[in-house]
Amino acid sequence: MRQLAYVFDLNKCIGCHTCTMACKQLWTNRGGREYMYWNNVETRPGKGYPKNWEQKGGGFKKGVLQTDGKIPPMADYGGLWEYNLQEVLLEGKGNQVVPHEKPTWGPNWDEDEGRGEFPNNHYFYLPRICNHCSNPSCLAACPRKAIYKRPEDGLVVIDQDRCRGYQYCVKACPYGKVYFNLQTGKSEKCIGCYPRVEKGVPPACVAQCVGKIRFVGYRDDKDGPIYKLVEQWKVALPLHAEYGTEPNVFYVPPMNTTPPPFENDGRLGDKPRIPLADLEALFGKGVQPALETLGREMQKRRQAQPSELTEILIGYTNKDRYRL
Amino acid sequence: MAIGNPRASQARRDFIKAFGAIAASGLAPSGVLAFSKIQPIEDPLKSYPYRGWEDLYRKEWTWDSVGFTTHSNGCVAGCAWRVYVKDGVPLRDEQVAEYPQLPGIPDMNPRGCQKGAVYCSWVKQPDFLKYPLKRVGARGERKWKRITWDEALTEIADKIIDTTQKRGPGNIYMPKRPFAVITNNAYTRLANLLGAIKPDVSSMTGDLYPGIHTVRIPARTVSTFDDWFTSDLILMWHKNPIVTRIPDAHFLMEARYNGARLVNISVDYNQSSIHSDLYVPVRMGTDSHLAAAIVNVLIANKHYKADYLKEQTDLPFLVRTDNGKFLREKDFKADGSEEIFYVWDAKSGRAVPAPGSMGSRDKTLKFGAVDPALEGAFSAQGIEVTTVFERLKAEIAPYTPEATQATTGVHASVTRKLAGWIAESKALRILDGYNNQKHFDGFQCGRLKILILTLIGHHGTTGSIDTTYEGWRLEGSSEMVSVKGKPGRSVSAVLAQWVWGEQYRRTKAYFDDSQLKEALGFGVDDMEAMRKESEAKGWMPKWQSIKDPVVTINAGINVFATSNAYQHLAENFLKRCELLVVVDYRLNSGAMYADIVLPAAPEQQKLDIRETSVTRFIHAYGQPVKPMYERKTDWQICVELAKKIQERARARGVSRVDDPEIKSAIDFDNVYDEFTMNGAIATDEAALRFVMERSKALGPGTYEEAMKKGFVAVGPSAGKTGPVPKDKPYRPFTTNVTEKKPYATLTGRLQFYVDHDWFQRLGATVPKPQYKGGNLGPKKYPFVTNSPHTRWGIHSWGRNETWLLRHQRGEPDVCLSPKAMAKKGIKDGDTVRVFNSHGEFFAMAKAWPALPDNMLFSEHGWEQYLYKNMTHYNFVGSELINPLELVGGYGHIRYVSGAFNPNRIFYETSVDVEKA
Repeated sequence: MRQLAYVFDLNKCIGCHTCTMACKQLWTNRGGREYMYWNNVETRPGKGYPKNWEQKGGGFKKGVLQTDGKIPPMADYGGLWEYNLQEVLLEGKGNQVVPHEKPTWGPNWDEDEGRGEFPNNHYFYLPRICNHCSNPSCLAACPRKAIYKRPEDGLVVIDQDRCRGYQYCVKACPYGKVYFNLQTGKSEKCIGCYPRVEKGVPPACVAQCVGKIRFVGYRDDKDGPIYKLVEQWKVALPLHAEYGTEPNVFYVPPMNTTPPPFENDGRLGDKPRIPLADLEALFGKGVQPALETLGREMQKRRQAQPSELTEILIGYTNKDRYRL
Repeated sequence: MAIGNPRASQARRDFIKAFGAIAASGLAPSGVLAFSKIQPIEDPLKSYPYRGWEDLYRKEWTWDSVGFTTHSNGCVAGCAWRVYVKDGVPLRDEQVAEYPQLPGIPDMNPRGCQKGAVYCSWVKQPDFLKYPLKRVGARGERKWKRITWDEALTEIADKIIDTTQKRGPGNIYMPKRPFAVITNNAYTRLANLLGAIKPDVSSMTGDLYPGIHTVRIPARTVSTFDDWFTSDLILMWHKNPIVTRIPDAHFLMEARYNGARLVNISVDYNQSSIHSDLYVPVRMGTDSHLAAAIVNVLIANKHYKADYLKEQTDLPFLVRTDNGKFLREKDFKADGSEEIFYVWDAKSGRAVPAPGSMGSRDKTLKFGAVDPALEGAFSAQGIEVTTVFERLKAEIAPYTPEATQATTGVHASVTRKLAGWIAESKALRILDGYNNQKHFDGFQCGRLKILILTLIGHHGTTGSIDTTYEGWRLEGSSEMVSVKGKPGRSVSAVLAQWVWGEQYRRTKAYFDDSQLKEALGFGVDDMEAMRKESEAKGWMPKWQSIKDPVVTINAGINVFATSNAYQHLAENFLKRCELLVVVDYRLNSGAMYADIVLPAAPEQQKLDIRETSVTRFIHAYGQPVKPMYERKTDWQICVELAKKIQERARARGVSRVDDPEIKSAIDFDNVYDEFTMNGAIATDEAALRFVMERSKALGPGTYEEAMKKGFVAVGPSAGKTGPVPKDKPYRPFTTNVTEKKPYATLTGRLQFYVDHDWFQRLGATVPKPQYKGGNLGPKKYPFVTNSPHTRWGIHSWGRNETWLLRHQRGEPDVCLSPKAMAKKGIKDGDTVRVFNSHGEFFAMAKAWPALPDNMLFSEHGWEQYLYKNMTHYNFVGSELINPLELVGGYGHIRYVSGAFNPNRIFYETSVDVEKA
């Protein structure tokens, strides 16, 4: 049994959504999947996608599968606005190209807002995919055992033949990463781009990430960046580990002391810009030691001393970051 | 949904288990073969027996053919993409990501952003043009009938001939924006053959760097962006690379891991702030004061490289104290040169001519035995002189961090910290964005920024001031556009739109003249007088004042969008324009006003190349799909238009029309033969090979390589200010330092003193803030505005793509700080009206904590047709011209299209807002 895992470096994510669009064009721009963003990027602090997913329930508590999970209403996934371009621009009807319904929420509605007051506000980006968990609650919740982990790579997939669309999985995933396809009547989710991975090609969201923030490899590959960042250096942390699903996507948390905020008189202050507690709420108590490690290693480079960690995080080439 | 009876389920499971056991034991009778397909699912965490369905997704990742393309004509990035085609339909784009790595530098894999990633969906939207269209209603009514290419081209050809005959040559206007090489060149070549007016579209969009142009040529110069990795201090100033340099932003964070510090200087806590080591919140329109304070600190603490300055700059040059002019050879003898200057030789105690200037015979920066003084006051044969450096010191002296704090809002301790970082840096890079020159004081601010880099000796050595775009030297391209004896008519787009758009009236009505006079020392009438004087003196081209855009062929530009006073410009321009032809891929906002619309092949359907020097790679538009419907590539459109003109001319007995104003002539009956070089470059491929094979940096074989790989690297000679190294990133202006090669400026140096009469009159001889700072719009409107580029489009390219719109608010929005919104009783999501005395527009309000309370922020590039009542954020702007950008007749400071002429100033607008 092998397990693919990912590291996303939040100190490099620029919120461009190239990963989102890569996945969208490859898998979900059709056939009932249009509202699904198997890969999404959200601004944090923020409500996320689907809206308020952190309050939807599911997952495990003390090893017990929670059955209180909610199915997000369609509105929480955001509008699928369509535009009357033809009518207005080519047929001369009406006086404005408009979405077919008034926008009130979208998958990126609160982009760049974050929290705080200028010039001490803060925001960062959190890209999310299915975590291909080692203890997936979606898998545990399915009464037909139609969700399984592939032994060769640990990717969690929903059997589109055997699924009967009960949506226990949609409720059970605490990350909101399982979706129901209204056209096919099946539940669907990120498939880890297994057709590509089988051919040695990284998932689209990984390969197409122009910020070069993503690493992919096997957890047991001790020479690979995943192992080094997660197990050795411990700078890459799981998201909401307390959900108990053992996610296999790890995040290097964003540095929280830079850029320094300002005192009222305009002098630089010495408090962190992002409260540590906010980051710990996402990534757990490992945040502080992770950021200290990062700071130490980056300081070495400032003094022209070598650092294995920064060399890994720079991620010079695809070969350095993708080890399939 | 009801769960089945658990007891029944359990019974069923037991039943299946039992059967499984029987089947496994081989004891099952053959009649139960049908059941042998049911396998027990033991533990789906570990294994699963029904995996055949997985082919479902495997089949979705298939295609019939692949080709190469690059995207947006208007984007400076340049990225290689594969297009996957199925059943003849382009399905998906994915970055090629096969660029070779330079040793020790992170590679460029992948290049390409979210806009490129959805391109295949975008081109299928219904506004993408398929056939030529002709207006049947009034202009702007958007009622069309489909016509044939022959009908369209005949009408255009006849109108061109008629107009030239009736109104004289030069009443044809051909703005074009595409950055694809033969696309771009097609319109230039045709315009030259027709004697048409060619506007500098960089001035239109506000993308010039006129201030920096006075210092070095070319002003608009960049390293290849992998060079960012080599810097230890990077200032992002008027630039938001995380949003606008998506393919290259990673180099910044990688540099940071490698030991660099990132500093973001911006009015708003924009997206590039989040990964910075220092954010400097500068008040809108006061950056020149911050820059001056940094210069002040560097000079005061002697953090400058004296030897470097003596050799590479005009700081040691002598200036007369009586009249503030450079000491010139002409001051010593009647027939002396105006272009030979002097330094004070500390060794021999006298003024000696400096080599390397425009008038000097000695084309080197080497001083030999001479040791120029940087400081001091001297007497040169009775003429009292001092150095430029002394002048600079004196004028910068008041701009201490403490004194500028009240203006900039930046605490002196922050300015000093930044200046300290700059002083101790070993490889400073300033990313100087297009935003700079959209402010009135961007001119001086630009000069100050490059002065900072120069004082510490990093210009042309370890550092760079990277503007946003430059191109590679491609001789084949230059050859293609130049037609012997037919130069066409080049103009500043700002001045063309100023005159044709009747902007004087609007500007006069908008600005508070007493406020302008108090700040700048002159008002609108003075400014208009200077504009006219500049045209009368021949400093700036005057074609707009004596010609009309009777026939306008507008290619790849959203006609009125990038302007101040959109509606005002449209109204007045259209009065002078009898035939507006728009060539584009989409029926965009500008095309709404057209008389004839021609469908150009979009990127995926073109054969062309992109060259921008932010990478060493030329990218191929490899035409993975031939032009669909009745689209034609831009090159073909120009070829066929030329053909039609020639055909119509011969049919009508029209041959040569003299064009004495530009000492030229228009040979209507030969224009196709001339355009295609007698057929030699009639096809796209032939035209492209012409460019590539005749350029030293490319050459034979590179066309094939580009089409095979999607990109090809340029050779060393491509660099305009130095060679492109094989194993290192390209950094500009290195040969001036290593080979002591003079700069192409009047003094032959990085020039920081300009003694042009107007510079003296306006107090701008040295770099220093031109006025007290702040927004120049009328104070009665409390908000300053910003409309910078967004990550969601390149100008209006991609701006109406559905997936991208779904990732925003779905309709045009404006941002305000939560406090400002609360004060106005506006909630997030409300429709608001933004207005001033000039106009209004409507948008959805979005709360953005990253803004100071006095800023109203609209992202750039929205289409007019997305706004309520067909308004637009450029309805409220008003034009202002910096007279320093009108000068000419001064060595290198003269009209140059794409380099020096009045730049669009967008950000001296003020507005108010209310719930609509």
